[in-house]
Amino acid sequence: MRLVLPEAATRPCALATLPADPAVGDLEAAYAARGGQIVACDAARRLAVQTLLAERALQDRARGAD
Amino acid sequence: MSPRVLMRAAAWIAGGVTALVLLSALLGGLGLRWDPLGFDRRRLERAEAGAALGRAEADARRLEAQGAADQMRRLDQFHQREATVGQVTAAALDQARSAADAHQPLETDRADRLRRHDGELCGIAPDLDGCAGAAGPAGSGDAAVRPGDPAR
Repeated sequence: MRLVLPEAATRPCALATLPADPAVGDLEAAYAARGGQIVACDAARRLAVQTLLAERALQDRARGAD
Repeated sequence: MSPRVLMRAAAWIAGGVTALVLLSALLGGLGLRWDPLGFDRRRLERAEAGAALGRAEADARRLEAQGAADQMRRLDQFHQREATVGQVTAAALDQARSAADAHQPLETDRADRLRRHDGELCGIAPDLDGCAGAAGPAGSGDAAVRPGDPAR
């Protein structure tokens, strides 16, 4: 018994970087972007782990029902 | 052999068969079974095995349905969080770019330090989205070049 691993959980995390010749706005934007990227990436990580654990629990229950 | 003898023999045979049927019905009614080859037992075992298989398959379908529903709920939560993060981050980016000093260049030393650190991070994890080695799904190992975008 397998659960479909969501596409979101297979994407690499994002890392905002500064452009060439950055301005103050670029620095602030990169700071804000990285914060959002961390939270989004953690949500994807959590989803992947929850999917794995749920699949294992289903397999354990299926084996117990046999 | 005369017809009379034949008729008498047929009558005896019919009487014997009738007696056997009546005796079998009587013993059956008393709960006695005569099944020396075990046909009834085997039929019962087959029926029980079929019922057990049916129950196991029903349990498996129920577990699958429950697992799929739980997964949908997790996906909904993820998409909600992803959307909320996108909204608040987009607002923060707008504010960053519209600040009074947004276009003031960074001091060269600071910009160099920050960009050097960006390069070090991308060197450690080149497949991160935003680094030059970013590719498709995590761990795919492809090396499609994707320019960095500080807004992402």
